[in-house]
Formats: sequence, C-alpha cells, structure tokens
Amino acid sequence: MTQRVRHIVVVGGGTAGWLTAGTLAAVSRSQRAEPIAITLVESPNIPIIGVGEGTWPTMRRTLRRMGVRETDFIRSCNATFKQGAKFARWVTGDEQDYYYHPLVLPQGYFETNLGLHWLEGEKQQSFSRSTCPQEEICEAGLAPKLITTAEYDGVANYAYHLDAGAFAEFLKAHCTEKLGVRHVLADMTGVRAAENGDIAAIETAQAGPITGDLFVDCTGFRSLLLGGHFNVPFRSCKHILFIDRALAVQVPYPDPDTPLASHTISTAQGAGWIWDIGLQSRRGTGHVFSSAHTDEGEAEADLRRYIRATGGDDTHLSVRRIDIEPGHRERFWAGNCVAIGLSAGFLEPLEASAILLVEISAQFLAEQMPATREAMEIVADRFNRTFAYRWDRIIDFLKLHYLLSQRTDNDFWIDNRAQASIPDSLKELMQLWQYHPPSDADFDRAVEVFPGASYQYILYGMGFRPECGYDAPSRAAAREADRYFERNRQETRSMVGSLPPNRDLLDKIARHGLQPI
Amino acid sequence: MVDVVILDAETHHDLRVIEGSGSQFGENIQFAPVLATELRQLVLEYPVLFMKNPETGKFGLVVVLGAKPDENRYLEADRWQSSYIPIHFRRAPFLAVQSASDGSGSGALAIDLEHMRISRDRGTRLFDDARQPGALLAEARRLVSLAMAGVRPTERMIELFVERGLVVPWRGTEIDPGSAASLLYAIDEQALAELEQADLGDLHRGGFLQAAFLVAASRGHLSRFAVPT
Ligand SMILES: Cc1cc2nc3c(=O)[nH]c(=O)nc-3n(C[C@H](O)[C@H](O)[C@H](O)COP(=O)(O)OP(=O)(O)OC[C@H]3O[C@@H](n4cnc5c(N)ncnc54)[C@H](O)[C@@H]3O)c2cc1C
Repeated sequence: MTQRVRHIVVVGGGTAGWLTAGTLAAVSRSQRAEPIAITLVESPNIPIIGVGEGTWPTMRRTLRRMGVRETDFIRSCNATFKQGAKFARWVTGDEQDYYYHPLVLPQGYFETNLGLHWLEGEKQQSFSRSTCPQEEICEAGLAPKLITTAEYDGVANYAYHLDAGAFAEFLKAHCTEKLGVRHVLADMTGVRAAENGDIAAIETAQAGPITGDLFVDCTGFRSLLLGGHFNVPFRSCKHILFIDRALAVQVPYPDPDTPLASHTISTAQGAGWIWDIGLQSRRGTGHVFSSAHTDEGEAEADLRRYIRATGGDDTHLSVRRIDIEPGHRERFWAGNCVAIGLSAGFLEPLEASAILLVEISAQFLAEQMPATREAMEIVADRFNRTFAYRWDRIIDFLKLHYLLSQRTDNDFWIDNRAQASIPDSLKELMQLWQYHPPSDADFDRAVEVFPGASYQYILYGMGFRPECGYDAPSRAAAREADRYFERNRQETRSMVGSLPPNRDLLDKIARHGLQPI
Repeated sequence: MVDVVILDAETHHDLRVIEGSGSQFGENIQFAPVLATELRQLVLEYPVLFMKNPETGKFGLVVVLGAKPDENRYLEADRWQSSYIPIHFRRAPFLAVQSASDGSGSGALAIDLEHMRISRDRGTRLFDDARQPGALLAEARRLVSLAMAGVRPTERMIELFVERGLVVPWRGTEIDPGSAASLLYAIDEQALAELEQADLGDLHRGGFLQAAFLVAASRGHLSRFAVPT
C-alpha cells in the first residue's frame, strides 16, 4: 500500500520551525488542489534561542513567497536593512584595519573577472570599493533603497537585521492566520515508533499523541527527533572552527535618532570576535570566542569595552551566555524525519549562514516534497548529499577568514592557521587561487551558498596576493576591465548621491509604509 | 515657497486673487494631481496615470499635460484648450487644511499667501467692505470641498488597484517625464482582463471597476504627445 504524504508535523517554534512551516504551507497551497496539512508543535515551556538576527538577501524571496508584506515585516520585527558585513581588525588588528563583504556582485561579474585586473593595477583602493558601490554606501550610512522603491526591490542588494523574538511571533501570526498552519502548544515527551523505525507519532504532555507522515525536527540544539529518536551522530568541527561560546547582549541607543549602520559589523578580538547588529530601537551585540584561548571573564570585559567604545552604556546590561558545539549531524534526513535549524547543526555566525540554511532547506523540502513514503528514500538521499556539501562549503568559507589573518596577539589566531586545522578542500582552493582568481567555475554546484565573488571579497579584502602573480591580461581585456572600473565609479557616485540615510528611510517606512509595487 | 494659512476675514480682508490662467500662475506643469471623482470628465481629454510622491512613496492620480517637464500642451496663449480643467487648477490659491492633526475632522479653508495669484492691488477681492465673503470665495469654498471629498475615494481606489495587482510601472515612450520617470505607473490591462470573479465583485461594489477601465483607456490620449516620425 502506498502511503501518501498528507500531513507534516513541524516540532519547534523558533525561527527554523516557523520559516519551514510557512514555506511548506505557502508552496503547497499555491501548487496543489488539496494542500498538505501542516501542524506546528511547540513547547509552552522551552523558550526559543532568541538570537540570530542577521540574514541573507534570500530572506526577501522567502518572505514574499509566504505572502508577507515587507512593510508589515519591517514594522513588526524591528527590522533594518543589511548590506553585507564589515570585518574590522581581522587582518592586522590595527584600528584602521577593515574590509567589506558586500552583497552586490563585482561589476561585470559574468563577463570578466575583475579580481585579476584589480591586482594588475587598481589597487589604490580596496577591491570592494573598486568593483562595487556598496562599501561606500555603507560607510556613508545610507539605505539600499528609496521610499518610492517597491517592497522587496532594491537599488542595491540587501538583506535584513531583525529581532529574533519578534520575528517568531510575526511568522506565527502569519502562518496560523493566513496560511492555515495548525499550532499546538505542547511539550513533546517521547516518540511512538513505527515498525520500520519511522516516527508514527510524537507523544505530548498536553495534547496526547500527534501523528504525521513526515516530521520536521526544529527543536533547536536538543535535536530531539533526528539526534534523539534516530540517533544520528553529531560531527564536530571544533578542530577547524574553535569558537564554542557566545555572550549575547542587547544595547539601547543613546537616543532614538542615533544613525543606523546598514551592515553587520564584526570586530575581531583576542580569541574570537564581536558582532554588532543595529535594529531600529536597539543594537544586538555579542562576543563569540574560543574557551580554549580565553576565559569568560576576559571575554565579557572585552565585550563591555567594545560597547562603551561604540557609544553604548554597559552599566545595566544583562549578558547571556550560550554554549556552542560547532558542527552538524552526519545526516539531516533519516526515515520520515528531516532536521532544519539548530537541530541539524550550528557554526559560528560569522556569515549569518544559519537562517540561510533554514531557508534553503525549507525550499528544498517544499519543492521536492516526496509524494509517498517510498519516494522519501530518494529525496532524503539527495537532501543529505546536497546539504553535506553545503555545510562543507560553509565551513571552508568561514575558515578562510581565519586563514588570511596576520594576527599574532593570541594563540587563537596562530592555531587557526595551523595546517592541521585546515580542511583539504580549502587547501586545494588556496592552491588553485595562486594561479587564477576565484570564480564560480571553481565550485561544483550550480547554486553555491557562497558565489565565487564572496571568495574574491574575502581574499582580496584580507590582502591575499598570488605568490607569482596571475598571467597578464590582454590589452583588450584590460580595456574592458577599465570600463567596468569606470562604470563602478559612476554608479557609486550616483547611488551615494541619491540614497537616503538608513534611519531616515526606516522612519519613513514606519510612517508611510512601502508600496507593494 | 508656500505659506499656507487659514483664511480669516480680519487678517485677509484686503486680499485679492488674480483670475485667468497661464504660465504666470505656475500652470506650465507636465503632471497635475487629480481625483477619482473627476475621472469621468478627465478621461475624455487627458491621459491619467499614477505617480508616486517622492517624499512618502504613496501613489497619487495624475493627468499628463505635456511631453516634457514644465510643459502644458493644454494651455495655449494662456487659455486652456480643454473643456474640463482639473480642480487642482481651479481651486488655486485655496486649499483645505485638516483642523484635527490626526486627519479627521472637517477641513478649514486655507490660502497659500505665496501663490502667484495673490495680490493686494490687482484682481478680485475676497471680502467686501463689510468683510463679507464675495462670490469668488463662495466658489473657492465649493471647489475646495469637492477636492476634500475626493481625497479618500482616490486613496481607496488606488489601494484597491495596487492590492489586486492592477498597477504596474509605466514604460511608455510617448513623453519624456524627466526625473519623474521612475515614479509613473499605469493600469496593467492584462491583469485587468484576467481578474478573478471575487476581485471583480469587490472592485465593482466600490464603483472602482469602471474607474480602472477608464484609467486604462485614457492612456490612448498619450499618443497626442508622441513626436510624429
Ligand atoms: C550566538 C548566536 C548568534 C547567532 N547569530 C545568527 C545570525 O546572525 N544569523 C543567523 O542566520 N543565525 C544566527 N544564529 C543561529 C540562529 O539563532 C538559529 O539558526 C535560529 O534562531 C533557528 O533556531 P531554531 O529555530 O533551530 O531553534 P530554537 O530557537 O532553539 O527553537 C527551538 C524550538 O523547539 C521547541 N522545543 C524544544 N524542545 C521541545 C519539546 N520537548 N517539545 C516541544 N517543543 C520543543 C522550543 O519550544 C522552540 O520553539 C545565531 C546563533 C547563536 C547561538
């Protein structure tokens, strides 16, 4: 007898649970005559992790697909625009040391490779400044769009900063009111297994057993279904990425008109780094560090020093500690259960890849939804291969930031450059880039998590130079590149001249809203 | 510059308004704001489009008057060649200001003291010697209340059109809108033709379905601006 997939149970109501439920519901409702039923079960007693406030531009697509109005989202979630990340003190540790990883691709990215040409001559300013307008837009504190720009459209590419707690509440209301997701407040106490080991039902304290055809584990670090019931082992990568602790704190602005950065600021410290995310009414900051290289007291002192130095008052703040185990499950889909979110794994939030992984996992599931239990084996296998590959690429990409640092002030940085801590796949890429600049062709998948452009921004931003130089370009290619550099100067001028301050635009959105078109 | 004050017989007893039309009154403009309540007359002669306010991003309804910025082809030698003149021009220099700050409450008749029509020695007097309002003021009051009454229906109409996906960026070539190019929108005729039964009903109930067709059809008037080739 074929068992069709008609009912999906999502366990967990954090960012992962609601984004997954909303994506599955929206896609299924738009495509099927009879949509799949979706139930989200969430503990009334275990709070969500409540951090995780930096996203990727993919979030625009994710929200739009769910039928969310951008205006409502921005107003309800304390959200702001994010145009990439500024990495301060990562290379030498000096005060002036910084580089950007913007969200806009270098000019002519699909026609030429400006990495090569920039190394040949344009080096008076940074790679990102020479090839895209976003660094200057961010340094000038400007928004990525105008009040007349339609919802989800941008003049410059952008993502969001958001309040994680408010976001879960917002998505909950949208999913239950607009998308027909059933919400059950109950503590899961156990699993009722089927004969083949599948989950037949989850047992709950308040609502009894809840059956389903497919279960999505969004229970956070607990990983109750995939790690618990299915016992899928955890693969640590602490030998590659050392960070294992976080101290998180919310900092109020000195006054409501304080200018708003439109990028995440990541400032390297002795044994880790501090994130700084500006929301409309407060900043979210925190220090992630390696407990093997510093102790909590020192890490907190660093964090408080940073807050004071950036205009904050650190006297009445409550600092929250979160332990992190860097790594991921060996598989993400077992039997009739797929893990999405922290239940699948977690890496330091250096490139805000966690929520992105939630989005693309939910999208994969929605688009390749197995029709029957039998089809699940095939889809599960694909899902596992795809996401194993993605986790590996993210690990490589995060490690790249450490590899190129020249800091020697703490063993943290020196140990990070030890050959034994570098994955072979990354060593190979570094070898390759001795001979040609990074490009999309260096990677396997059509849709990479990080495009070749991201590697260019990090490599050249951090001062990587090929030892014997790349082969010199032809005259014609050099002229073409010069045109792109010139186009970038013009675009930068025109954008910096026309975009409003980030705070001004958000104030206007609060008052007038954005138009859907 | 504008200097809007509530009209008051004491302070403004000696004000005069110069009547007539033409560029000297700032009527040489490429776009003029209009109201949903004027559509029926407007669409016979003018192309009607939507335009975003660059300060708030909100949509308004406009007629196109010229092929390029600062041009009004409906004016010839200071005379309107059209049979219907939008209220926007006829009510000047008068307007309404909301008495309550939240936008509720009725409007008070106000006047823009910096307007080119205002004078103390030429034109028609607003008040007579007994400081009683004259005929011009009565007409102004009528036009301003017509304008006031049209604001909400216009907003409501555009909101509905936008919600139903009927509004799309204008991509015509008949005129050169200068810096307003990215602010212009039109009715998506395809979307209008493909509206679902439920949406049709909603629009129809508010009387907005016909308005959508009128606005869409009025686009044909743009051809009068096209440069003959
Ligand atoms: C310090 C730090 C910074 C971060 N920064 C970023 C960032 O900038 N960008 C980014 O993308 N990500 C970031 N992340 C990751 C991000 O926070 C998470 O990926 C995201 O919040 C998703 O969490 P979750 O929904 O998987 O888990 P949680 O929020 O922990 O939700 C777990 C859910 O499971 C429920 N649950 C648990 N047990 C039971 C039970 N027995 N029965 C019923 N329900 C149960 C809980 O009630 C809760 O609803 C960061 C993480 C940390 C630790």
